[in-house]
Amino acid sequence: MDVLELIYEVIDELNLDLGPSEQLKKDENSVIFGPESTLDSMGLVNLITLIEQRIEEKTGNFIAIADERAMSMQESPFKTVKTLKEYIEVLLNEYNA
Amino acid sequence: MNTMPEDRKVILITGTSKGIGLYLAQHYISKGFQVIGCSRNSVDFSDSLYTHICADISEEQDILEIYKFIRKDIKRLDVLINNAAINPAIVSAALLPYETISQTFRTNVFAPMLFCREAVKLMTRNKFGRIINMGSMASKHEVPGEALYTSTKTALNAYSRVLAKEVAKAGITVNVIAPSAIKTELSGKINPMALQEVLSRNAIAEYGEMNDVSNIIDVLIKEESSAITGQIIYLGGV
Ligand SMILES: NC(=O)c1ccc[n+]([C@@H]2O[C@H](COP(=O)([O-])OP(=O)(O)OC[C@H]3O[C@@H](n4cnc5c(N)ncnc54)[C@H](OP(=O)(O)O)[C@@H]3O)[C@@H](O)[C@H]2O)c1
Repeated sequence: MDVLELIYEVIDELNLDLGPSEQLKKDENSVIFGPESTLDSMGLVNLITLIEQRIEEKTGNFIAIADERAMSMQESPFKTVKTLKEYIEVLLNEYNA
Repeated sequence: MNTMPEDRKVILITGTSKGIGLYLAQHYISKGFQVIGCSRNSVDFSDSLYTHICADISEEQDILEIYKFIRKDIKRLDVLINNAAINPAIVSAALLPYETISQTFRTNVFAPMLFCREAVKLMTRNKFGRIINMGSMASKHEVPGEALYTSTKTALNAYSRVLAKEVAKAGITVNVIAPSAIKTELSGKINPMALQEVLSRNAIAEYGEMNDVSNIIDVLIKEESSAITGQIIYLGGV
């Protein structure tokens, strides 16, 4: 599964509901959480939820992205599209192992 | 195949095997909602509008299975009523065993939080949701012997008020309904004299009725009630 492609599909879906100044760029460096992000906290919830749904649709497995490890990591995986992509890849690899 | 009409609202109620939850399940079936209920025990009625899931809500996995079913087969959720709760030990706080504390918090606080977490994810899809958490007059009266139950209900109050702020933009409201005392197995465990004394502190010093609870929930879950959120509504003039 191409995780980056999946995240971009979700960003497209999210952007449909966001105003012109809130649009999230399909870029690995897009910030998804914190003051520099165009997403507010519910926007981040939406992003994560839609990704979890897509993964469940594609694989039949529900994988919680906002898990305990994510919360306790020094470097939050919810910082940029890139960190999120890398974290999801780790989760998927572990799930499939 | 799910033959549910597109506009039929879906309501998830926890603790539907008896007491207030059983009453609410039957009330919302009679109003034409698609009702999903859960409890450890099964129910002794069936209805085409009702699905029962046997689950122990003190286990996260059981809660996740319920949502897996909703996402896959029902595909929407409009209303969540976090009704299930326990009050296993009415004793001095100085005598509370750890396992009792843990089980009570898992059922009365952690489970509603997990139900809310998963509900919010589903409800944001439709930009509509109504969450009702069941509180208690215990939070106001702070009765000796009820430290554990009271602290779980008060935790849920605080959680509900913060959640209301987080999800308002998504069209989701979160409110707490706190009945005074209604005759069920749970209230039956309380010494009747002690309960009468506590009730005498309320404007209405008598037991409440089940329909007092459904009456206020009916109002809160209406689409027009979008501005009522973050409220803790005490019944009986507490
Ligand atoms: N009755 C009152 O006077 C009163 C007053 C104020 C607030 N409340 C609140 O109203 C709500 C309902 O109370 P009630 O009087 O109707 O209580 P009840 O008659 O004891 O019913 C509680 C329900 O919760 C379910 N439940 C408990 N633990 C569970 C678990 N681990 N997993 C799944 N289901 C579980 C029970 O089903 P199983 O045993 O089959 O699992 C049952 O269906 C509670 O939140 C309570 O705090 C009640």
